[in-house]
Amino acid sequence: MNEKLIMSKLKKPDLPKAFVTKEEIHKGLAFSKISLVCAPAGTGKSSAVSDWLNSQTSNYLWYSLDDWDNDFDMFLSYVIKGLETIDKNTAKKFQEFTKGYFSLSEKTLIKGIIALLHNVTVPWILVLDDYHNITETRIHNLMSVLLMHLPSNMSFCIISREDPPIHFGKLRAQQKLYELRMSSLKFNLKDTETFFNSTIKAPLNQEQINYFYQRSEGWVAGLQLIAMTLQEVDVIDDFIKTFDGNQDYIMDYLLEEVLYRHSDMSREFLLKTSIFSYFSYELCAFVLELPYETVVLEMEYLLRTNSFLISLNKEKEWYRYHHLFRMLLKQQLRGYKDLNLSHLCKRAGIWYEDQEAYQEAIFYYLEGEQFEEAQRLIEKRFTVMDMELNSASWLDLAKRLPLEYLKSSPVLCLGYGWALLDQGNIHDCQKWFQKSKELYDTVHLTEKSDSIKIHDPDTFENIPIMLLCSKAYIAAINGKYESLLSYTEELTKLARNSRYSRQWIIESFVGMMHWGQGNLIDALKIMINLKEDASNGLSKSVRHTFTWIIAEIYIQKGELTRAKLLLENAIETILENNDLPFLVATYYMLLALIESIRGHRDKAYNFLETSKVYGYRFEFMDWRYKYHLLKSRLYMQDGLYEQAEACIQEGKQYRFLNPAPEVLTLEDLSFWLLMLTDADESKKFFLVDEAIKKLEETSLDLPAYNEEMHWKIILNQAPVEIYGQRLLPICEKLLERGKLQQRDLDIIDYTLILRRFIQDSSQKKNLLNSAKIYSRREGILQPFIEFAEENNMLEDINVMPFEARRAQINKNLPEPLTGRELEILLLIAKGYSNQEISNHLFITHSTVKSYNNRLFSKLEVKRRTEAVAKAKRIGLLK
Amino acid sequence: MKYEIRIRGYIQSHWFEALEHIKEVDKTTILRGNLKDQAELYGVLRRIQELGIELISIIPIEEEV
Repeated sequence: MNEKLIMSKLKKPDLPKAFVTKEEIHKGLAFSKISLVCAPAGTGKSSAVSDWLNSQTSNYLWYSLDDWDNDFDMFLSYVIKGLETIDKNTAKKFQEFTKGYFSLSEKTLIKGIIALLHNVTVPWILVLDDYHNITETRIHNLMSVLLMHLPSNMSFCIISREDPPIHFGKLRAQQKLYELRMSSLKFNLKDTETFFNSTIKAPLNQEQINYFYQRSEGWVAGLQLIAMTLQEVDVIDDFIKTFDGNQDYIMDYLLEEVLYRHSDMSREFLLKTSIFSYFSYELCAFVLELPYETVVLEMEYLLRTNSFLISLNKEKEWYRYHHLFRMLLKQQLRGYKDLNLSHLCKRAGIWYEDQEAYQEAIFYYLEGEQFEEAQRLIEKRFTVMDMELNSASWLDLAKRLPLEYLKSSPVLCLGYGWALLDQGNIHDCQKWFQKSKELYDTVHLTEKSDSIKIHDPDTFENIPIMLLCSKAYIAAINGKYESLLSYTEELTKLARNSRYSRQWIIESFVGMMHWGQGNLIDALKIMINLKEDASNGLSKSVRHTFTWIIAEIYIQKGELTRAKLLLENAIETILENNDLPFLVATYYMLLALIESIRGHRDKAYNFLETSKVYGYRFEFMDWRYKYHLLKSRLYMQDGLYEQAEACIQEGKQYRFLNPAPEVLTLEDLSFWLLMLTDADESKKFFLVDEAIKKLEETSLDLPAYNEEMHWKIILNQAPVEIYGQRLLPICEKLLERGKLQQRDLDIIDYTLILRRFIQDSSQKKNLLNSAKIYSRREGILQPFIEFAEENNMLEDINVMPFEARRAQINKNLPEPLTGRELEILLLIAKGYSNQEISNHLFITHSTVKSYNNRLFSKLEVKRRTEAVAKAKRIGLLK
Repeated sequence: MKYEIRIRGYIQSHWFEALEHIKEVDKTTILRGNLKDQAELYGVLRRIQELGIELISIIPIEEEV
């Protein structure tokens, strides 16, 4: 986008020629770190803040908001751009962080942004002007959280016509908020006098000043318009006489006066330029079809006489009218039919498009009802914005088009569906894809029809590929790997013959398809290739995501050492570069998984704790789900069935939307727990029967890869004397498939389970030995804990880890501590202050205190040191 | 739903074309008319605010049977 254009929105407006400084406002703004300037249009809000900033030494970021800043992405990129002049380093990190944000939850994104703002090293002031234009709730949420956790270096000022939907109540109560409202902004009689003395050449007498003050009620915009009119008036008292007889809305009356007194040329110029939110000489010359010199002369005249014209940058290139003045002009413009609003808007659109300021161009096309033009431009933007992973912003643009223009373009239909799919809306996207296909087919099968519009032929030709991609993606989400297989085959064929630019997506489908079939070797090859290939234009965060996928495949394969090295490296790189650690929680969780597979449950619990510390701040996708998954599995291994059950239930409230196959789900664990703890044999029979029946119905001789865990549980729990005959061949075949695909972890699992179905003791011993040989390579112990028949098979297994001991001690307390209380106890023991705990856990100071009190009463102590001592004594702490 | 919106001062009718303008002697204006829904009502209120006009009251009135 045009650099100057961006900067104009990030420039503080110059002060009007005649400005009356109010000392008490300066004091108020300087006194408080958070200010809310809230008053109707034309009361001098922006000018007051702008004047104050002139007297400040701190850096500031001034951001004038418009309707289109409701695009969250756009909003963030403006903030980043503005931050560059304050702290280049932080701005750069901010940029990298937001690039990958589509995969983060809103909460995480907001937390991440605020964590970044805490890194700004110099004192600075953020000013958001015209905040009333904002309707996007994500922006409101961001501001609310920011106010709660305002960095110490930062001051914050919101300027708005109406009270924004942000929670100020608490700040008000704590007297941390400075509120500047109409009553303080209004001019008093003395201000009015100062103002007239500095604007009008012929001085007014006291009576006249008094009169205008009464008439305008101290309203700044009214006074400015009066001053403007007076410049053209010869006898002031005559003007007062006619003014006095008129009781109409003061601005209407005065504007008509002003326009009436201007020359035709100037009047037309004023009216026409009112279509612009911002304008430059060049833009005016182009849209009004005037010679550049004429525009310069007109503007110079206006700058001398009109205090509603505001210059936006030092170079005096960009200007805007005061909002209220512009609205008045625009209303008048509608009355002048011969000035042709629609034509002006179209030219403005063309100019902006030429400047590559597409958002603005589309805005003007739509404003002038040039839907055809808007449709063309929005269609052409699709591929570009999709490549930049900006489909959500694109969707906001598309939604502004009337429906019939959307439905006449196959590419727009495709984009609409695609953007919905990107947001995870699997259902609603279908009908758009359907429509797109219909239109595509109509064009190809019949003569070219006038009612179907194609502005971007390249994307149009790619419609079949993109539609197939979307089908493959949906199949992957739904875990339908059979259909994914056929889609990917078709895709590979199609892609070879076309110039589809996002080959890497198709390749990752192929990878996932292999993965879903248990073919981890080929899946690995593809994923590693994708990660290493520098030419596919993947962003840093997407590359980090591949690290996670690759590590997960290694683990499923049983290559623990490789996975561990990869993860440790990744964590180190992220922390070293001070990147935002939103994947670190996932990495630590995988490290915990590795330790649990190796039977080091103490270490596993520790890694899980670390993962949680990051996870609560920067969670990635379904981290919460997976955290609970692993934790409940560990509880089960330790025989803590109650805790496991609670943990499973807690985890089930979180989402699990991973297009990559997961071998274990919380449903599996529930099922396992049921088999383990429910003594009712008939229920067991029923469940096993169900599973076998389902397998026979699908006419596959083996369960799908992602259902193997379910089957391990059945094979391990089904009564042998009844089901042995039927289950033995399944177990043998699963073992064989595992061997074929070199999945060591599964091989050990099945080898141990197989022993249940064998009577012969020497054969049993052989199987055990073979499992041990496989386990030795990577030190895999978990299968022996979970699936081996004999107890105490490996000596070091049965040592209960500290976490489990603590859970049991806690359970036996008269009043057990809750998870959160335990967490806070640990932080107290580490020496954290209440404030540090509050920052660490993102809860307020008073919440920490109330936790402390409950914690103390449960432990029957009075202070923190006592609590720690007692907890150590009874074994809650090491 | 029919509403009566009272504002301070007199105003030309082009700002609220859909509403009836009644100028009162106490230099207030009543804008009266049918507003389809809350959205339209808020639209009118927003405009009043944008113009910097003081809002005095909003009264919903029963339809005459």
